[in-house]
Amino acid sequence: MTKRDQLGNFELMVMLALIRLGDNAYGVPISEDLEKRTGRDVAIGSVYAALERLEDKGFVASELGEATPERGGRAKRYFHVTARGLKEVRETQRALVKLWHGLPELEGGKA
Amino acid sequence: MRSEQPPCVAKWLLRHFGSSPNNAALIGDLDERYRYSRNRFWYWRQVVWAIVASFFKEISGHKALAIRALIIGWTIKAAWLSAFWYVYGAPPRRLFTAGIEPLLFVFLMGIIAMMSTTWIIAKTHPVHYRPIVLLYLLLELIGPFLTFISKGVLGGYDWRYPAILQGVWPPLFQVIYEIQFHLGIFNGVAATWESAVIMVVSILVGGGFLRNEVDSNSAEHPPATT
Repeated sequence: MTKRDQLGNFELMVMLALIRLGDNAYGVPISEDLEKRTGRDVAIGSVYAALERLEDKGFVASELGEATPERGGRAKRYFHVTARGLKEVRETQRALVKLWHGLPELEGGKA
Repeated sequence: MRSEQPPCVAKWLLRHFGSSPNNAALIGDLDERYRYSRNRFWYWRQVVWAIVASFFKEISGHKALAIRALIIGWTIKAAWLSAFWYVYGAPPRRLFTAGIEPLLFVFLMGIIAMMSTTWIIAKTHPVHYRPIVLLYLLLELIGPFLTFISKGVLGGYDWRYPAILQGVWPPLFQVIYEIQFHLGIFNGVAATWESAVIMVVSILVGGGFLRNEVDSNSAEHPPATT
């Protein structure tokens, strides 16, 4: 795997939000989910930049949805995780769990 | 009381300067969130960040295209300057003793040169023209600014002809300065700002930034009224 194909920190957070949201994953719920879970304000522009990078890598696919009046007549773009993306998230999780083990500072022990 | 309509200037800026391939969906998302819970400051902050994030994402994802576009732009610029100097000599001082008409001619030529440069850049890079033309514009502004700083630090700075735009389109600043002089106005600072504004507008118009485009995924419903 090339470095370009690895998941960045924010990209991983976006992927997890996509998995959690399922079929209703477009810009608004994705950014709201990230804000709710991280406690930080999230720029929708950054979410789209991450989603487009993930789409370039083949980890995410998208299609246009319905347009609504409250969106100024603009259609939603729904995103979902591909099989390749899901595999990448699992590999990242495994790597992070391995890195986590044996660190007393992060397991409630003394620093 | 908060307006239900998002700030129109911010929205206009995002429509014309946002580089994301999903720009219309992004604007729709911002409008949707703004209607339910957000304020104007939040909208403005989101717009600025969306423009910056999409610009850097597109440039970093298409470095080779960006370099090619810059080479094309600077080659066209060099051709224009060479032609200008070949016809009028460099610097084109003798032109400025002949009245206002030649000045206006040169002024027009400068604008056409800038517009044609970015028009060709935009036409040769139709999918990514926004970030690439913006990059060209930024470098055209930063380059002369660095020259301005270095000349100021190293000395030898000519206040009659500030360098800030000489590196961009040498005739433009001088022509504006001489037109002002012809009209009895002696203000190099004003000429510098006028040149900068004219340069920016010409590059943006040539690059197709100010034309009205229909969003690729919109207009299924009219905008909501309040």
